[in-house]
Amino acid sequence: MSVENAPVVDVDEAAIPVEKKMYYRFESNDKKEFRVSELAIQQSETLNRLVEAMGYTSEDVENKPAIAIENIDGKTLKLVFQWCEHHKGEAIPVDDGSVPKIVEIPEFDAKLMDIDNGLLFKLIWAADYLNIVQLLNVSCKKVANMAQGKTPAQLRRVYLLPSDEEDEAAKRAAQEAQDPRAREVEEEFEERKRQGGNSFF
Amino acid sequence: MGVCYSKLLKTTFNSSKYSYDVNWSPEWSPTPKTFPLLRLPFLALLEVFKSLDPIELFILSQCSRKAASSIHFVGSKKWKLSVDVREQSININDIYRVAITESSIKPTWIYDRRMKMLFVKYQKNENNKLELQKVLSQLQSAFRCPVTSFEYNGFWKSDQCWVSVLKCIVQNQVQPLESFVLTRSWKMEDLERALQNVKVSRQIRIRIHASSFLRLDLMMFKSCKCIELSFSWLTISDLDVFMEEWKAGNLPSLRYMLIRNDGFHWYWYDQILGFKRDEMKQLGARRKLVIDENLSVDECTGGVDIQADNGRKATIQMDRVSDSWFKLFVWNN
Repeated sequence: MSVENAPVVDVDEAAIPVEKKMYYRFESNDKKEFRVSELAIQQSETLNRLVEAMGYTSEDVENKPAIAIENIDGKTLKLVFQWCEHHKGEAIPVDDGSVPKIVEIPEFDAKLMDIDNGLLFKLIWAADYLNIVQLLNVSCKKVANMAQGKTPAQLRRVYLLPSDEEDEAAKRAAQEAQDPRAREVEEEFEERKRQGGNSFF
Repeated sequence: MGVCYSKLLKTTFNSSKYSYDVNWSPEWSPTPKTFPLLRLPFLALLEVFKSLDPIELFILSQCSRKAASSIHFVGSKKWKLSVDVREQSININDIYRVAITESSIKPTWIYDRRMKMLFVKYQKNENNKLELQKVLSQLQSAFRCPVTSFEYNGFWKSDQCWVSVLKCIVQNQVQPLESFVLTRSWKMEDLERALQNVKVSRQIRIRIHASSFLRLDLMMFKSCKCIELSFSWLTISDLDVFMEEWKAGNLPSLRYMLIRNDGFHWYWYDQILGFKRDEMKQLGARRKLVIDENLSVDECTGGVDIQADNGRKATIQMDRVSDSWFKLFVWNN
């Protein structure tokens, strides 16, 4: 029978068994627990693959301990899961290669990220860690927006970029800490270069 | 029994992409309005760079050598630079522009986001000819991308700055220029030296006014799609030799050529590929030549049809009024 000829049947929606929504339990490194819907978890590629691999039933979720996320504190994880719940069901964006990348920060995200830079820093680390593409996009866009209208000197201050001299000093200190002989070798090399030698050996 | 996320992660994924327990350290003591950009994980840092426009990236690159050496992670293939020496400007991707200007006050950088234009103002001094070269080097160093277009229109003033800028480009990249446009230069030896070294893949346009006896060897442009020379001092005999090369298939890239002269002098025996002057002046159907999506040239209005040994069809045409130009149109098969 073709589709066109199939009989039309009224469906009693109430009679259809509604699939029970599943919530997972996660615990931050400071022992704060969160219940997150299965759909919201799909925003995080890492967590999504994790719960799929675990194969928990609803009973397992209730009876077994919460899944520990050791590297993220409760304050940050709360923001992450708030974001995931708000954006649940949305498609994961794909980079279209435009220059510069076009990222709009929705109002909800802007309010969510109205936080101090310390927490924003942790949020980005968490988004990267949990592989939440769109959260990473919007949070990084917020960081990029800090560059607007700034001179190199201002950017150095805002982004805490060390000057070349500071970088050199840090490199020397690291080398010395690792191998006290390294600096002597480097100085010897520089001296030979100054004397016009082509080969160090 | 607690389920450790990190342990599970190790058993769940065999990917080496993640190294969660090794360097994961978002600890940082913030001060208001500061953000430790270079302490972000690599992918996040890349996302920040991707959200910055090329001018903002360039400004960022000037913060330190370390910052400058990070910019190209975004992808050098995304960028191309066009240099206009007379305008003292460098275009990025034909959208963003860095304009170098003199200033009586201290050097400043002003970015007009609406105009997508960065004004690099420098204090006038004896080295100001080098300012364009300096900014170009900084851009190339940050983006690690080639210069694809070079233009110098020194029609009203002669400035040898273009030679050093071109030299800088040729030395810093192996990739040929796509477009090379030069209008007037007083020092012919500079021009000849420059043309010996510069490689052009797409379009070369040279207009030398009031210079004497410039008879460039056209074969030096054999990799170009489009050649335009004005005030060339080339003779009909030169053109004939060149066209013989084309006929033999030695210029496979060439699609269009325009050679202007104050007036080609024809001797009774002169011919181009065996055709006399009047044959190339015939009127015919009007045809437009499209070289590529961004480059089309004026219309062919007649002339004589020819064919190369490799089967490529073309039309050669001579100015009907004053013998002041010769054109070659190579058609798509």
